[in-house]
Amino acid sequence: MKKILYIGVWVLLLQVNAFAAEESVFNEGNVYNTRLRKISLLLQGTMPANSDLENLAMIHDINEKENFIETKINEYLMSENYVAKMTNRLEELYRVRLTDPEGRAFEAFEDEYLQSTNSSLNILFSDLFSKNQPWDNLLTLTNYSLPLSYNVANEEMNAYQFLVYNHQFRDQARSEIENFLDSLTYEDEDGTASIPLISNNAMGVKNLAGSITTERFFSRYPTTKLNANRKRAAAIFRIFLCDSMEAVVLPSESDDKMLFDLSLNANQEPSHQDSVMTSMAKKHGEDPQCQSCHHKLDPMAKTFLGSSVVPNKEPSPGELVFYEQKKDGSKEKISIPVSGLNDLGHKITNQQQYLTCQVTHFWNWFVGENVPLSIEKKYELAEVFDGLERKPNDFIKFLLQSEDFIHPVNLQLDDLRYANLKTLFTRCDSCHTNEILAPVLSQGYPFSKDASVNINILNKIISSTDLHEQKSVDYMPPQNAGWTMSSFERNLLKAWITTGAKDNDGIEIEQELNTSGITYDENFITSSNFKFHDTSLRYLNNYDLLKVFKEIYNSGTCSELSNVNELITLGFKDPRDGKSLIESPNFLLLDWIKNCVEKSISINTGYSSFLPYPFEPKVAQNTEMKLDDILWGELDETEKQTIIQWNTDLLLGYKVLSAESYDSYVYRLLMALETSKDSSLKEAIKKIHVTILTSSEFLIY
Amino acid sequence: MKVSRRKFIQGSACASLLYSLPSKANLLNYNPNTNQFVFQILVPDGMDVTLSLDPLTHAKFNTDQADVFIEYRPDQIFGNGKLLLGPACEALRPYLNEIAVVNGIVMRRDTGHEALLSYIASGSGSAALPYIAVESNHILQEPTLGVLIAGSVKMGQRLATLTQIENLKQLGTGNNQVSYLNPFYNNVSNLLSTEIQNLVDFNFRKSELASEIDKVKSLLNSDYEEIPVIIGSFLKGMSKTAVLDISRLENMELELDTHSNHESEHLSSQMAVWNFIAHVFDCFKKIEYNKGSLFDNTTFIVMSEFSRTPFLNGARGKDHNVYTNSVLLAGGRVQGGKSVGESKMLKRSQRPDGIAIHIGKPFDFSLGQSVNTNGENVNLIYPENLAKSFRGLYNQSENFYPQLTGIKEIKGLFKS
Repeated sequence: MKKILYIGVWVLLLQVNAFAAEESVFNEGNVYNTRLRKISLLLQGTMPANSDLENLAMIHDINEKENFIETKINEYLMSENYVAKMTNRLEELYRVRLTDPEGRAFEAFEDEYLQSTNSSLNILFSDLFSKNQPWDNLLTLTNYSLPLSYNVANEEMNAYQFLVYNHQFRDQARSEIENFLDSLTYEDEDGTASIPLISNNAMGVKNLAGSITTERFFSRYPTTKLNANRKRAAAIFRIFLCDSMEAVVLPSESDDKMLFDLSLNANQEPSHQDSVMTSMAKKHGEDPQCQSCHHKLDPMAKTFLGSSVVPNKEPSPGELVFYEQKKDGSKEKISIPVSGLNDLGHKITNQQQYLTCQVTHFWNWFVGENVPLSIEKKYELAEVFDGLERKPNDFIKFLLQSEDFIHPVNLQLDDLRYANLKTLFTRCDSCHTNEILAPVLSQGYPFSKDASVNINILNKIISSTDLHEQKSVDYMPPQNAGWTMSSFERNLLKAWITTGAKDNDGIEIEQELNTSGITYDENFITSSNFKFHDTSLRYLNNYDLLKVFKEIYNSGTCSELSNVNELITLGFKDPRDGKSLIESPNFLLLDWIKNCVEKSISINTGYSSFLPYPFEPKVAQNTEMKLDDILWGELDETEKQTIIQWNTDLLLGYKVLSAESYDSYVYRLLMALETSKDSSLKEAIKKIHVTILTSSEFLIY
Repeated sequence: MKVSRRKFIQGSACASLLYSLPSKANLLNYNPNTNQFVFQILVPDGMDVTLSLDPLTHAKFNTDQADVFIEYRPDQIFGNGKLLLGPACEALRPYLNEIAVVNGIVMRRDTGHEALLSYIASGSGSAALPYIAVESNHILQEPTLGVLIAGSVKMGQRLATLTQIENLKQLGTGNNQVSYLNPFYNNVSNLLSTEIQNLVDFNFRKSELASEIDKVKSLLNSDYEEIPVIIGSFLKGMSKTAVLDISRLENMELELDTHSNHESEHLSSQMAVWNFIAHVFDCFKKIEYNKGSLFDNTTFIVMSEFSRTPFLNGARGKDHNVYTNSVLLAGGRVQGGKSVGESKMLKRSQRPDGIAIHIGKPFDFSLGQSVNTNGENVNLIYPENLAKSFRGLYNQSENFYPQLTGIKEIKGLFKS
């Protein structure tokens, strides 16, 4: 009877709480503890210590709670895990293989991405965070350090020695470094220390520019006769100016005609009067489609001339050509001559576009790319970043204490505004810049002061993008555009249009639009909130997963990835295109977790945490054998509940869930274990662990 | 109707949908008689098609070695009149009547290995469309394991489960029951509910799959573990599509990107490729399925990102040639024993720049043959034409690459 009553209460609780929307579980929990868990995972990739969560929960004064969190942020920013995590973030941004904090070698991807992670580039990355150095070092540093490993250091030194102008200095520098390397013992080569390679006095610095003249960057973005350093320029545009240009094959009528004519008539003139290569180079210079990227890429690529394998000591002049996004949303073409790579690096860091781009990276990493970031906000953040001397740790701390982080404003279906569509419209404009009559969609809204013209443009958008899903043949973007609207973008456009095409002040247009029959999935906004990477709430992934499991079980068993493809399952990004093959966990990841628990759990880990707890006399001794002897069904409800709560706290973190969600969660675990009455206590605990560790509550932060 | 994980997530915020999840058991039911499989094999680095799928002789175009370097004798070319293959493909001789080749596919321009491999594998030069096998997986109503992959694939806008073949090589046969997870997730809004259902199902059938793979393994005695994994998963209905990047095979050392020292080095690598393909065919032939063999119920697609320039460069190598490419199709649904599309040689003496070109020939899409004239339905064959042609496998379903509206298909590649 007591048991029935007990379960009855739980059922009542369940009815009230179990169907709460997913987000509320995370957003309305014990907010400070939930926030600390999130901050710890974002900064270090590890859970906060449970003692910290307990201490935080005991503080009642809100200011003291904030102070406690600030102390912890400072502590995390000093940790090795933070440096490793941020280095990994930069490696993802640069699309190189991630350095494994454990030093394991996963040969997951193609050779060209496999350069040693033990390099001057990595030291540059880690110094940024361990020493809170200015972010501009990525483009301006001329004084590299080499890893404390004879082979690696020697190889890199060979690459850099050509930069020395003065022979005397070169020989002296080389001899000093060689002596130093010779003095190393095997024990010294733990890769944690570094030696300075280039001193400003001895080396020519005219052609060194931080990360983009490191050996690892050069190897990752090799140049060929055909790409002529454009790969490197494209990477610089993507990383530093947020202008992503990918190699694509776009059909063009003139190209196709040329090829057709060539096939019919070998003696085709004049398009193929030159060699194939010259013809292509010429096309890049003239074809509007090619020119949209190449007029920016080619002048920057010139600065790498003569630097095919290592930076040339003689700078090669070029030009920095890009479009700066102004505060009012308009774009201005900027062309700045540069004298070489070093000058290029400095001139990029002088640009507003660089600043707004860099704060966008930080925003995506810490606030979430699904939280709208307006251009005004970018400018505001850029000013803060600049004011903090562009020091990453200070800016990250600022972001983590900002309202944007604490209360992120996700897209609201009933309050979509023009600003939410601007990125999409910018992509549309990129193809229509040369069409005199085409409206510039990204330059402000309403598109025209004349209301009737505005409504015409909106209706044209509806028809040209086929929002009625009539499968029109020629809808936008066309096949040769080089991009397609994602389902998220399509839903976003439909939702904005059907909710009145509001301007940035939330004012709907007065006239009626042709929206009848436009349907979309209203849940698209929710679904975009949870991914492995860069959403405001995201799934545990890659090395963080391994680290967290290692902490829980004090065992590296889970870290023994049996094959390279598991990296994909665990949410690693593919360095080839910087994307994950899967964006959120699939069942194979859950299977990996289950296997991990089964391999790792032992008396020294999961079981030991509760053994001394109040199970006397049933569990009288700290032995696994004892746990084998007791059946789950033999325990009374209080004991079962205590075991579940204990393990929930252990794995999820103390008071990370709201009281209501916690009760519901524990009840669900109790119910799940109902089918395990005949399981041993040991087996039951294993099941509890698998269940918790495969739950959204654990995996999402 | 199958509800994808993403669709479920989209629905998860709506409590009214929580009870409408279909039973996984229903999703797994399939009728073997209607099952068709797609196996897309990618050979990165660019194969010299003159050695294999599109052999040339100097007599045909009145060329010499400076126009096109040919390292085999004309009598080493074999075929049946409608389909000719070069010496690298010797291992395919027994399959002449069950394979078809599409020649003269023009890749437009050289944007590098990765972009062009994606182009030929999907029909989109901007990675906007999924690989043919991924699109097929959608049409075939994705089974539990979705698309089996070794290497990476482009997904376009399709949401598909991807399962690494490597993972399945590690399958154990032990007790893997995780059905105890179900009560935790049943009737509760949770983002991972569908994945848990998949996990429960996968674990429930894992032993079954592992023993099937073991059975196939012992039957085939193959050096390549990937083959029994794919066959086993197909046989158990847990997947219907696979994408295999041949460079991921443990036992395959290839040197195909021969910008230097092309002679014999490229040929031996390409022979290894085609020997492997023939071995795959052998294996699928050995497996009985649906009153025939598994080969009969599978469509194989073998493709590389481009061909190689016809003549030897200064380093005695052959560079990237985007002007022509060839693709091999095989399997029971393929109209075998023929090639579709042609290429031609433009000799250096014909060219103002003195550089010989090996290029695809215009193709009349209404007649289904290459022509030497212009015309309403005449154009070069591009990867998008090939991709759309796979609609022939699916009763011309408009749900297969719906984005390729207006693109002409190469007719006659598949039996109806």
